Order: sequence, then C-alpha cells, then structure tokens
Amino acid sequence: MAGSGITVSGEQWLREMDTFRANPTAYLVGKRMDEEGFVLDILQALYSDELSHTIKVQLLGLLQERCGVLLSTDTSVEQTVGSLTGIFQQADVDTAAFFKGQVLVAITTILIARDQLVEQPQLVGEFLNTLLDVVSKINSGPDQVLRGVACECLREMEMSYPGLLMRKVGHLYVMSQTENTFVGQNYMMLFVTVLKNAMQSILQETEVTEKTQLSELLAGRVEPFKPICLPEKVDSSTFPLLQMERESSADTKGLESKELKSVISVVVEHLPLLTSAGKAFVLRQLISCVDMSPDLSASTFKSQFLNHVATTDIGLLHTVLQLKSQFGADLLSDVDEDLLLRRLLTFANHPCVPVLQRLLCWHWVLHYTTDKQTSFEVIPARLQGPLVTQLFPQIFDHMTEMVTKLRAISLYYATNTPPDSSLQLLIDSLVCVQKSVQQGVGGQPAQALFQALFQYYRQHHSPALAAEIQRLLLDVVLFHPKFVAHTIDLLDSVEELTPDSPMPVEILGALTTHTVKSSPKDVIADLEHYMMILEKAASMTQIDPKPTVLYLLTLLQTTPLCEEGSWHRGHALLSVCAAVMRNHPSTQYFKEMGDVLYAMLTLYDDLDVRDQARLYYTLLTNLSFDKLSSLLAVSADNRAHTATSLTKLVTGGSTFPPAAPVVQITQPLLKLTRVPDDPSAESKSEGPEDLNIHEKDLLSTYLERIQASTYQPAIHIKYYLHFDTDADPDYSRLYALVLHVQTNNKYAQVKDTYVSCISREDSMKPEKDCKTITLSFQPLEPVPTQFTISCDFSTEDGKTCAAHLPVLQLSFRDLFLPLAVPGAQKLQLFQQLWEHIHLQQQQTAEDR
Amino acid sequence: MQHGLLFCCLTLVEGDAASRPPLIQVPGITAGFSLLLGILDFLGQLPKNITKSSPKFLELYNYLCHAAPFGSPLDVDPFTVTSVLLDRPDPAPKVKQPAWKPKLFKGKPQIYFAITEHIKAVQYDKKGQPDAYMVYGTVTCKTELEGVMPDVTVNLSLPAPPLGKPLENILVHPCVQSTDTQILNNCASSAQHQTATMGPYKLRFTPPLHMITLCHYTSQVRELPIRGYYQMRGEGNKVKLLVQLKLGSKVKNHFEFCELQIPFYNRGPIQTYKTTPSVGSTVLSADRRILAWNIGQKFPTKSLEVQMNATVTFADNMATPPHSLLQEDPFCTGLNSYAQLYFRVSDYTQSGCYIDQRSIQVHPSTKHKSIITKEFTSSEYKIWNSHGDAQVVHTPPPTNEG
Repeated sequence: MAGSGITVSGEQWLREMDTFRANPTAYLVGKRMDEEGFVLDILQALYSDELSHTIKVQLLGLLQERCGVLLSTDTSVEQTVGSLTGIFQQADVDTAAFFKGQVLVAITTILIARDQLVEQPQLVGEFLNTLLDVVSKINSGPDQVLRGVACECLREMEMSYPGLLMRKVGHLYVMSQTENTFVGQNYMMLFVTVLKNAMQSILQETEVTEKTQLSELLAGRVEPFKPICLPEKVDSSTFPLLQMERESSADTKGLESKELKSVISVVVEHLPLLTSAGKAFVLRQLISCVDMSPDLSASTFKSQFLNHVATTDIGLLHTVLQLKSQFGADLLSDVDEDLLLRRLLTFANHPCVPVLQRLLCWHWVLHYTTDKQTSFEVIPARLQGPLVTQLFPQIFDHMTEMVTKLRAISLYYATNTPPDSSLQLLIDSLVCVQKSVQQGVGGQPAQALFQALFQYYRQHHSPALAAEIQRLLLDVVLFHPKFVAHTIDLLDSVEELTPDSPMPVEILGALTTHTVKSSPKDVIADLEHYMMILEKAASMTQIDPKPTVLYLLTLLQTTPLCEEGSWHRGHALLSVCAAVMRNHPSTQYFKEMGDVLYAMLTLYDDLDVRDQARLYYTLLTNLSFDKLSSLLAVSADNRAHTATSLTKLVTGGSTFPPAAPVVQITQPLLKLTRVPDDPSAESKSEGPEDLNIHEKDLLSTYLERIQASTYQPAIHIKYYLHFDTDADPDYSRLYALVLHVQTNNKYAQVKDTYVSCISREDSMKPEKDCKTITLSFQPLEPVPTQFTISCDFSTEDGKTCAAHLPVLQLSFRDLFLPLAVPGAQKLQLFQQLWEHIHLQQQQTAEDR
Repeated sequence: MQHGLLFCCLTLVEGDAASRPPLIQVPGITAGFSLLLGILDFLGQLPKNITKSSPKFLELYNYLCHAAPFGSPLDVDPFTVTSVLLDRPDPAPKVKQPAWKPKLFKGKPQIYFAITEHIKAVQYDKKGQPDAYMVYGTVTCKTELEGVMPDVTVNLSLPAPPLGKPLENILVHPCVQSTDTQILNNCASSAQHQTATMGPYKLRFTPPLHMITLCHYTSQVRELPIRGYYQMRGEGNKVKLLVQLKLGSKVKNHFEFCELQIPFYNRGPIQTYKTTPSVGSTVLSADRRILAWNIGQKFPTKSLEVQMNATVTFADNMATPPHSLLQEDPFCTGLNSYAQLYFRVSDYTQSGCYIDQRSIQVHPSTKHKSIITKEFTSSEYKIWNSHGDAQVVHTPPPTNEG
C-alpha cells in the first residue's frame, strides 16, 4: 500500500489527476491534447516502472471513472483494453497481485460502461476467457487475491448481462465447494448470482423445453468451463432479464427441486465462512431462488433466522427482516415473530448501538407489518403488553429518537385503547420536549413539540385532547410569543384537516383576550408576534374585533411606535387592520378603526406606512363593507395581484386586463449588417462649414479643434437592420422596436435607437431597400471592442417581446476617423502634421 | 461527520424515481452503513489538518478497491482487508478457510477478554420524579489461536441473587454460532421480564484474529454506584452551592479517577470562587466556565461520603470566549443547572458480570494463555440542582395487559 514512498513522478500524476477531475475540458485544452493523447499518457504511465502500484491503481480508477469521456470510440476502447491486457499479462502475480486485480476491474468496468458486449462481442469474449482462465485455477496459492477479484469481475459481468454465465453454473458450483482459501467467498457469491439468474431465465423462457434443464446445468454437462460461447450477434433481446420485471407468479414447472434443494443446503452450510456483507448478499440471492421454486421450503432459513436475530450487525439484521417480509408465516411461527419484534425493539433501544442505526431500526419497527409498496407507519399488531413501554421516550434518547417515539406512542394509542384513558399518558409523554420549549428554547425541541401535538391531534381528534392541546399551547405561547408562528402553523394544519374544529377559534380567542389585556409595554418588545396573533384572530368571524381595534389605538397612543416609524412594525399593524376590515362588517368598529388609521396616516413616521394607512382610511370611509371586504380579500388571497386590484379601484372597477409578461425570444430573429462604404455618401457629407481654410492656419485650426474640451470624436457606422434567415416566420412585422447597445467602460453610453416598424417583406436581406440605422460610438479610450445588442418590440397581436442580436464588432480599423478638412487639403494637413510631430520629437529628445 | 470530514454513501435503488420503497426493501442502506463504519474504522484517528493529498487517503482508495471493487461491499473489516493487501498469501489450506480470516495465526496462543461496563444516570432529588439510570456493557475479545477455525466457548456469569441481577438485551457478534434461548429471550420488553434467567450465559463462537465486539448487554441492576445531591441557590452574579456524594456500600472504593464538574451555562465566566471540599481539590477550566472538583481515588472508608461547599461569582459579559469548549445548553438558565460526575473503576463491574476463566474452552483443544480485564466507567452521570428545573421524561406505569 502507499506509504512515504511516493516518487516525484507519482506526486506529479496525483496533481495532474486532481486538475483533470476538476475540469477535464480545461485540462485537455491547457495541455493541448485530446482525450486519446491523455489516455495514451496514462497507459504509458501504467507501463512504466517508476510509479508505485498505489499511483497506478489511482490512474486505473481515473480511467474507469471517465471512460465515457476518455474512450468515446470503439477503436479507442479496443486499443485501451488491449494495452491493459498487455499490462495484466506482464505484471508479476507474486509482487503485484492487487494491481493485476485492479487492471481486471478496470477492463471490466470499461467494457460494461461502453456496452462492448453489444458493440464488440469478440473483444469481450476474449476478456471473459482470460477471466475464466484465472478463476479456473482452484486452490492455487499465490494468486488467491487475483482469483478473488476475477470472480468479482465475472459477477459484475453476470449482473450487467444476466444469464451470461448461465451455462457455467455447474462448474461454478463445484468450484465454490472445492476452493479452500479465503476467496471461496467470491466463488460462492459468483455461483449464487449465476444460479439465481439461471433460474430466472429458465422461468422467463416462453417454452419450457425440458424438465431437467436446471439439473443438466448444475451437473455441468452442458458445456466445458472454458471457453465462453457468445452468440454471434448480441442485442437487447439476448438478455431478456434486463427488460422484464420479475414476476414471482411465473410458471415454475421447469424447475425441479431435488437438486436445487441440495444445492441450497450446501450453500447455507457454507454461510459461517462468509463475511457479514457476503452472508447478507448470498442470503438475499437464496431468498430469491427459494421464492422462485414453490417446492422448496422456507424452513431452510430457520437456523439463519435464529442465528442472526440477536446480532450486532445491522446488515444481517436487515437480512433477517427480509426473510420475514419474503416468507412471513411460511418461515416464522407466532413465537418467532414475537421474538423478532422483541429483538427489533431491543436493537432500537440499545444504548450500545449508535443513534443512526437505532433510528433506522425504528423505521423498520414502524414499517414492520406494512405491505411492500406502502409507506405508511403502523404499529405492528403484535406489539402489545410489556413491549409498549419500549415505545416511550427515555431520558438518554437523542432528540430525533424522542420525536420518533412520540409518533410511535401516538400511533399505538390511536388503535389500541379508548382514546380518553390514554390521553393523559400521551400528554404526559410530551414532557421530554415540553420543558425546553417552556424555557423558551427554540429550534429542534420546539419543532418536535409542535409536530407531536399535530400528530396527536390527527390521530385522536377528541374534544378532551383538543382542550389539553389548547392548555399546553397557551402555556407556551403566552410566555414566549416567539412560538406564535409555530402555533399559527399548527392551527392552519388543524383547520385544513378538520375545517369544523372549534379549536383554532378557541385558542386564538384566548390568545387575543390575553394580548389585549396585556400592558402595551410588555407587548411592544414582541410586537410582530403579537400582531401575528391579532391578524390571525381577525380572520375568524367568531372573534369580536372591537377589542383588537381599541388595543391598536392604545398602542399607537401610549407607546413611541409612531415616532420610531419602523416600516416592519407599521405594516404589521396595518395587516391587522386589513384583516379586521376584510372579515368583519365595518359597523362594528367604524369609528375606532377610523381613529387608528387616522393616527397612523398623520403621525406615523414612515411615508410608505402613512400612504397605506391613507389608502385604508379612504377605503374604510368611502366603500361599503361588501366592496371593502372583497377588495381586501383579493389582495390577501394573492398578494402578487395587489397592484392590479388597486388599479381596478382607480379605474372604477373596469376589467382592464393586466399586462402579459414580456416574451423572451431565444432563437435568432434580427441582425445588423454593416452597410458597405459608399464614396459618394462621404463626399456629400462635406458641409458648407468645411470651406477651405488658409494653408497657414491649417495646422493650428486642426489642433485647436481636436484639443478643445467640446471635441468628442465619434464613430458613426451605418447598419442594415434585417431579419435573420432562421427567424421564426410568425414574427413578420415588428412595431415600436427599441435597440439597446450595451457598452463597456471604454465607450460612452450609446443612445437607444427607435424604429417604428420593420417588416419581413422589406427587410429580409441586407440590401438597398432594407431598413438602415446609424449607430454612433463614442470611444473614451481608442480600443477595439464588441457590443451586446438587445431589442424590445411589440408584435402584431400586441405581445411585448425581447430578443438578443448577434454581437457587434468594432475593429481597430474603425477607430481611424477621416480628417475633418476638405478632401483637397488633406494631404497638406498630413504633411504639416508630420513635420509638427517630427519637430516635437526632436525637442523632447533635446530636452532630455 | 467525523474529524471534520463528511462521510456519505449513495445507494443504488432500482426502479422509477417516483416510487419510494420502505427502507426494508433497500438492502444498499445497511450495506452502505457498514461500509461507512468500515471506512471510519480504517481511517482511525486522523490528524487535525488533514488534506486531500494525505497518504492516508491513497491507502483508503486501495482499501475501497478491495472492500468494494464494483461498489457493493464484500468485506468491510479494515483488519482483514489490510492483511490481504499487505501480506503474502498463505498456501491453500487443506480445509476451508473463512473469508474473514485470510491469514492464519502462528505464534503463542492467547485469548483476551475485556468487559467494559458503562453507566448513564440522572438524579433529581425531587418527589414524584424517580431517578433514571442504565447500566450496560460490552465484551470485547481478541483470540490468537492456531488453526483454520478454532471454536471458543465462554460463560458470562453473574453473582448469585440477590446481588446479581439478570443481563438483558444481549446482542452478539455474527461469529457467535449458536445463540442459546436465554440470550434470545432476556429482553427488557419480553413477557418473561420478571423471570429473566440469571445465566451463566454461554457464548460459542469462531472468532477472527482481530479484536471484535463479542456482545453488548444491559443490566437490570437496581442501585446507583454514587448517590449525589447538588443544591445551588443565588441571585444575579453570585451563587452558593453544596454538593454531597455518597458511594454505594458494594462499590469497589478504588477509582482510577473520580471528578465532579459543574458547568455554568448562559452566564459570564467565573470571576471568583471559594470552595471547601471535604476531600480532594478544585480547579477551574481554562475558559473559566466549569468548576471541577477532583475527588481522587478513594471515598472516606468509614462514611463513604464527601461534600463540597462553594461560592462562585460571575463576570457580566455573557459572550462565550472563542476558545471555549463548552457548548451552551439553552435549557440551563438561572437555577436550572446540573453537576456531572466522571469516574472509572478498574477490575469491577456494577452488574457483577464476570468471565469465569475456567469456563473458557477451545476446540480443537490447545494450551493457551487467557487474559481477562474488566472496568466500570461513567458515560453520562448528571445530578440536577434540587432547586431548579430539570429535563425529564414521563415513565409510563407498568401495564398489566398481555
């Protein structure tokens, strides 16, 4: 194994692998090589003597991991597999057994991942023969590890192509019995896998040919162990098991049970030689085998059940449960089932078992009786009497366990005793989480308590329980208003579950009464939470809103709320007002609410809150209750539409539809193509102001002009605006088109260009009649660049759309502006400039 | 999460994405669980600032290549995997060699057993609130015996009643072959709870070469080793407290260590403290949040009682210092407070459970040396303040049904 002996080149490779894994494309581009080149490098490294096996195994791992990317063609797969086989054959089994094994694993993975059995059956056939060759050397000493891995490779092949090794099953049976070294487990696991698949494919075959098919196979009389015979052409129908869902009711007459019975008892006898993981795997395969042949009795597994029912190993315990769920009463008597359930509870409560495993075991207990496909939790009917005490939370339990157990006892008492007698027990059990919550501890305990309360309510919605829950909630919330949100959530859930339940009204009524009686000083610290209570309570028509409104007025008058002007608190108050106005006829509280809103709209030190208060005030004083409530109901139901409903108010309730969202067009639609330079146009642009300047003033005028602060050179470029050839023909006429040019910090912002209409007929191609526009770019620094262009427009049917255009390139050439003097004087100016620059250079040189 | 690393394992569940089979139908869950435990075991103690390029992770890769070459685990035990990877293979034996013992032992035969018993306890000093505790133990075993599959039998014995109380909830290692009915039926939840058998509990097993957890058990023993009272009162930043401890008369009065710690949560660091312990010495933790009383090796032989008075004042600033190891307990405010005991007694078990040397049998019989140790330690031993509130659970009354 690795150690300190990693060579420099080894470390180099580790780094390379890291960079490659982080971003394969970037790595290959950076190295200027393609995938094939990289694979070649890896293969070379695998051949070299410089690298330790540890590094080479890592390289093989990389090949397996990324074979989809690295080996994209059949040829590359063939070449790589060829090279790897070469490496395998060269490596020495005495010193490099582990490495050789990993080469086999790599080849297997590559062949399976690239589905080479279909693509290149020849290649796979050769490799399978290599594997069979390795595996066939039963009981040879030095290559034990290698043979074990070869078995694993064959098993992986068999699992990917079920039935592949079916005709070798007899030989494998003999081998698994003969092999004495510790890799006997690998032979055994391979054998049971092949056996299970063989049985399945015999069952699946439409015509059951001979009754003795399986015994022929098991006796190894069908064909020799080597070589493998593959059909000439492999396709999806060659391995029908891959497609079909297994049906346990399949016709089983092809399987004679006598041989099978002895085979299975031999395998069971060998189980103590296997590791826990191996045992669990083999048992699962055997379960399927026995399940497929009804003549075999499940009692074969009885000893295994008894051996492992008290195990510390969670994997084996799981297997025991699978035995139970597969065979049920065929395997287990009532006494056994009781035992199993007791042992599960023991495991789930055992202080020596880690918490996570205990939780998994609780999951098993709660799904003990359920059918395979349901996921409801049920307490097993057998769980009775003294076992029930095991369901109660214990002081040393983890919080998550306590929650699970509270759920469990709730489930238990929902089915087992008349609700009233168990009620106190249920409520008392909550103490394990309740104390923390009563101390004001939030987070997990609070969540646990409220979840448990809802669970209780769901299972036993009796009035007595509701009263208990109410007492408990008030107890918690009155001391710790921060649990208001939890409470409201719970009440919402209760309402959803049982819309007629009086519980929410009662609890909210009590909470409101308590709140409006508290001194404003106490309430102000937790104002938002108290306002949540009042808002929720206001939505209940059974609760009188007047005390609430009066209390709001007291709050505004006696506390510095208005002066502080907090936006959040202001809106918390306003939502209570809105909830009251929405649900209760305004005659009940008209004057008081008016006072509240008036106080807010005049005194509250936040503009937005004042505005909203003014709006509510206007609504309250001008609208009837029906209108008011329906208006506020709409805005409460769907806050997103608030703006719309307010617009409705302004427009007198007209049904002006809200604007549809902007349609984003991702396909190419429009394009800008540069209009070719037109010499005639250039001459035309010389206006009258560009009259000839006197030769003497030519240079000074020019310099003056370009050095003036008002001088802003701009590049004007003319473009055809036309439709892309691939544009969607639905967009044939575009109206009110706005073009935006996104500039960077090297260029000044470009003004949006407006086009009133562009049609497909006129502007399909960048030609003479096409729509043209001129864009003016003002460089802040003279550098070439590119611009992103986007546009918005309306379509004929009134939709607003947005689209992107291809980027615009501004090249270095474009940055040369024509000299702004009449054509004839250009040469003169050039010469004068040249001399001027020349002179300046000389001067600077002399100054130094 | 362990050592600041996140260990996770994805299991393959075949079928369509919509269906969520119950976990019982997903064998990969427990296989993945075991693999993760194997990985943790393999990595062992890791240095604090471990990086991705550590050689340990290269070794881990090799471990995984062997333990689960195609992703489904074959053998997750780090000991056997390492011995396969590192050592030259033995020649093929004449009889079948188990997969969990790839190398045979050569050398001086020796068997080592250790019983480690733990106690978790909470004491309240409140009427109507019974104290709670559980005593549980683990027997570990390492057998170095020659031969392919030697088979060992051992008895777990208890003193005769009334001293001894039955062991319950015994879980055994997969190498234990025949589980006798006493072991299976002694469950705290079983109907035979009252009639649970007293043993000796016979375990017959074919062990691998490395250290294994032979079994776990819990004990019905009904006596606290140390009874304690913790009384704390005070206002504002000053508290007075009294702790009294009494050792049970049957407990071996010779501790490896015995220390009482009082953590002060949700308060400022301790500013001054004055203690008068009847034995031992007191000290503050580095972050000045815990008052520790080192009781020493022995309780006074005559009275078996010790006590400590203390006055403690706290600074005003509540902020936890950054180096503090104390994780705040939000429940412990004001007078809600507890003291916690840490102790270990060697060559003693609270349940009285022991391994009778004469009961050890090896088949095929060989001469061997056997070493047996036992110890008793506290794992969570809380004494709540008599004057404050405490975390409790509701204990259901015993049912008479069934």
